[in-house]
Amino acid sequence: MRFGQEPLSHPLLIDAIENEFIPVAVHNNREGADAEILERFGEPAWNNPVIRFLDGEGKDIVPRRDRIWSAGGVAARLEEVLLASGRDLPPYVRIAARELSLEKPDLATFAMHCFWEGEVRLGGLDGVLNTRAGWIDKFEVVEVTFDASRISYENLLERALELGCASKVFAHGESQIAIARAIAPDRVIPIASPAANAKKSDDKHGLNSTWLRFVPLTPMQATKINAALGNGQSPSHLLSPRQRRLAARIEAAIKKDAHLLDRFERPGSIDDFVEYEKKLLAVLAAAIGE
Amino acid sequence: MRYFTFAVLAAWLLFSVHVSASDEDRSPGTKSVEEELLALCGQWLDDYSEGRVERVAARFAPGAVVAIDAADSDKQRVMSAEDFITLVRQSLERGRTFREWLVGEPTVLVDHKIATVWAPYRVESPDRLAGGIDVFQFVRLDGDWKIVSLSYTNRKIVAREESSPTPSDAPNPPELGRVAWNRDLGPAIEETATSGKPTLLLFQEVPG
Repeated sequence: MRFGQEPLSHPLLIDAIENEFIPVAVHNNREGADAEILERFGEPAWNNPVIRFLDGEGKDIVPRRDRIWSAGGVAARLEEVLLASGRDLPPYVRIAARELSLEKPDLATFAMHCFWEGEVRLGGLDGVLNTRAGWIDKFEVVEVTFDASRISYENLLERALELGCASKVFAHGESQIAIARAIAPDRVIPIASPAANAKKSDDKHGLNSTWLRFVPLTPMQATKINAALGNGQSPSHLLSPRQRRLAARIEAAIKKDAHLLDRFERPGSIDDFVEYEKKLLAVLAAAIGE
Repeated sequence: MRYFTFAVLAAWLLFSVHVSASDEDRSPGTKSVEEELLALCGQWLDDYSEGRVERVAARFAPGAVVAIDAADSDKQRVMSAEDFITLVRQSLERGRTFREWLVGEPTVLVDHKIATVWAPYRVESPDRLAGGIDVFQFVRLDGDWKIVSLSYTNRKIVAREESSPTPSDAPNPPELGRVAWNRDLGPAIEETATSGKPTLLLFQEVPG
């Protein structure tokens, strides 16, 4: 059941499975065509879920692997298969694989003169998964969630300094304190608690200044889209095909009525995407038709 | 922050203009020719889907032709726009309903008063999802873009791929999540052989 509720209900994984693959479900322990497929592939009738990936001759593209049941595990497998079969790896699939791969990503906090710019500059770095604008004392800060296997704290700090986004370094824990003191000794402030939230309108300010704010986005998508907008790049490639169609409908509706979606606010949790999209689509259908 | 806001708006405009037109000469708020043509194709498909036959017919230039490539049966047919309109009318009289829309990244090419729109599309009826490429050839006559020819491929789409902007709402048992699954492996493998998209084969216990 959990497999259905997690990887098979994650919005970006659904889009990846439906758009980049031809999805087929075989019901184990059922007679007829299902049983024939089980026999053909040597799969047991009673088993936990298994996903196999086939080419145009019905052969495995990558060796069968069992026990991949987490959203992160499935996302990584989708990425692996697309690469193995020479397909393009759409950025939204890569984003899903990156942000679902870590149970507990690392956190870094930097102060800069403007957290709008800080989110843009730091959010665009490879290895950065999420940014959040906040306040510590009188300082505008950006909290950065990052994948230390892709960008070390040391590298992140050096890049933040290069980008003018580390006037103060709020270091979490002994390891960060030691690294920060070695690189920027006059800027280090040890910290144990999270930054206070910035106003909602200040968090992902670039994204929230456009009608893309109404599209349900995963945290990493929101971070990367905000960074792309701030860096003068088109963010459309960061959306899934379904999100792009939704964005186009939102654009059409907003052009007819700029205040149509004023009461809508993008959900913070993917668990709320379905209900949000249903309400959003009902309003869009009433405004511009199906 | 002002510079920053400007950069965001600039990027936003970049996103809003889907075509790769050179639009430096354009005044803000006006549509490029490419955008105008895409909007026109979208409107034409809306009229077509809604059965507004007179509007569909009015968009054709005199002497226009329609070419259909039924890819699944490998049958090609060329007819006049008048005959195409007659077929549409007959289809509507039989109560057929469908919806057609553009998907993906259309290509628009323009030189003076002729233009081509090459656009992937999907068409959905109660019993079938199909799609292919719509190729509109336009000429600008008396200031109005008219369709000189419409050519399109049509093939059945196995997956629910790009079917609608709504979230997948397949009435699945909870073990299958919210993915729109196919249940027939044979056509899926054929689709993989044609499109190159891998078949994702889920083996799952589903009670009942």
